[in-house]
Amino acid sequence: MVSVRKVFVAVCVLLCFAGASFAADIALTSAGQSPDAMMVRVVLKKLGVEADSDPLMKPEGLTQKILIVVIGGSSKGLGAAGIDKDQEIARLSALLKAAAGKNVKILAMHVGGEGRRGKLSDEFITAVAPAADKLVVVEGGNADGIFTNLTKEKKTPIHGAPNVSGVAAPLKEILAEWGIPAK
Amino acid sequence: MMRQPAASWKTAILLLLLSLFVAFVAARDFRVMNAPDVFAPAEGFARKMLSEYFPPLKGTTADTPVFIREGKEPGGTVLILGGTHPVESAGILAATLFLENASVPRGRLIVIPNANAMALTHNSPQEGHPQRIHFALKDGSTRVFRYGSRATNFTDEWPFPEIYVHPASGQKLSGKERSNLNRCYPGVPDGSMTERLAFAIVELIRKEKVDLAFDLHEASPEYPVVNAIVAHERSMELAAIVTMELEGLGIPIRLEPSPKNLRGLSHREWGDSTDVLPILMETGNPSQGRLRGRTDERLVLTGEDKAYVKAAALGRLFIPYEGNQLIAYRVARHVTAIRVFVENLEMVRPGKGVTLEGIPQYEEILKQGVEAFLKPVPKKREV
Ligand SMILES: [Zn+2]
Repeated sequence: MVSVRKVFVAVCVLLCFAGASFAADIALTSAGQSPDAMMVRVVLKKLGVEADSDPLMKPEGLTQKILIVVIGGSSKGLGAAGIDKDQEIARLSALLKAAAGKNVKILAMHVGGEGRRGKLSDEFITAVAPAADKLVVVEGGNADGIFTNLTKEKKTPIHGAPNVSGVAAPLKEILAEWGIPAK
Repeated sequence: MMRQPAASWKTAILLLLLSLFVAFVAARDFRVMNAPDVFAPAEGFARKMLSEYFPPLKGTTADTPVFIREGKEPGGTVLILGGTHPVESAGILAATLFLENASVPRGRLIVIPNANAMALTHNSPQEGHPQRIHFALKDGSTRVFRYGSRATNFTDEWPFPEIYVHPASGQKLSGKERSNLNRCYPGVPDGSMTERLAFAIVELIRKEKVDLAFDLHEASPEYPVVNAIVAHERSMELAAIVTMELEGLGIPIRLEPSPKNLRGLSHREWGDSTDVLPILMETGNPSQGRLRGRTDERLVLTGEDKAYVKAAALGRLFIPYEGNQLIAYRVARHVTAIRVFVENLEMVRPGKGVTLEGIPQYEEILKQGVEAFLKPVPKKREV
């Protein structure tokens, strides 16, 4: 009996969280709790692509084919989420490990340019970039070569974009390559 | 030898008269700050008072004009608040530009240009702040705006508590923050004057069912949240759309979430106590900074300061600074951001869109200056 109830509750919870985009192929999360992940969500919407978006996504929630991690540290955002930098990095490590284990493709994005660099953001970049299968970096974000250095060994492809709206083009291309057609 | 008293007597009277004269001049100068700024609303704006939303405010120094423009076609409601901190002139001027230029075919626009009228009745002479700023209009007339203080006048908030305990949360701040409108939300109906004012503004948002509300500010260039939007989580998707669109227009702006644990601020409390989408915006104003040199009306209007050039070269600023921060640029940023927000409101609140017309474009404000979009007002007083 207990297990039936558990399943029922689990389904309810899943439906609540997923809503209309229950069957999405893409999971979208933040690394550092800046609003940049929300901007990528808007770009995805414009491309007509559904994504399950949760800035605090946990490994257990990962059932999609693609994981997009939008990197950008915000102390206000971390504060709003009630977590600190180390808890955020621990969550990301677990999530990235789960993604690798489930053969989920990982796309890391940095869309904040130079303004979203600095001590805090750089820690998240260091935690996420090496695990990525592909990267999209907006101009200024890789001016000092941080992404290039972190992905040297894996030779991860880094796609550039002039600004946040401009990530639509590389995003579309990458998603198409990974089997998700966009508008 | 014995005639000395007569001379002292005369000197004493003279000094007494002189000090009376100085007191008279100073008092006159102080009192004249009580004369309200005059606005020239565009056609169709109805003038109300904030006390109509919270009657105990009536007849107090906290009461302030509220201008409402109702469109023919039904839609949502947008509120623009300038002058939460009257040292942040770009906020007052951006609100004024909407008030004096907007026509509203759809939905409603509410403008409160002087949100904290009690902070406009004094200024900070020891900071070198000017009492007013002036704009020369094409017809030869001059528009004058008071340059007040960040805080409510002492005469309205005396005495300060040692520590300001925010009533809704128990958050403790320095006592003087009780005079800061943007720490007093959601307000207290029988609280201090500033808390009552905050309460009245939240009442207005509730009673007018405001969909999208702006609180316009400026901050020093060395403050991290500048050239920025701060959004409540409910406003975040709209703010993300706007941030991207502004970037496309060549107006880079930083988007920050409203911290859940920083209480009393508009971007937090408006959203927590009503259904509104709250947005706070900041531009960069060197006359508010700590690094500034000579402080006068010129600095407020141009933002030109040698020390900021040095600070920028050292990478200490959070805005690109190339020698100035013109008032036209600061106002243009606010006006354009509001315009883009309003244009996208329908997307996040279907059926609640608002159409604004007659709002000057970014480039127009930069090229022609703020004064080109201010209307002449009847000459009320010589200042
Ligand atoms: Zn302010």
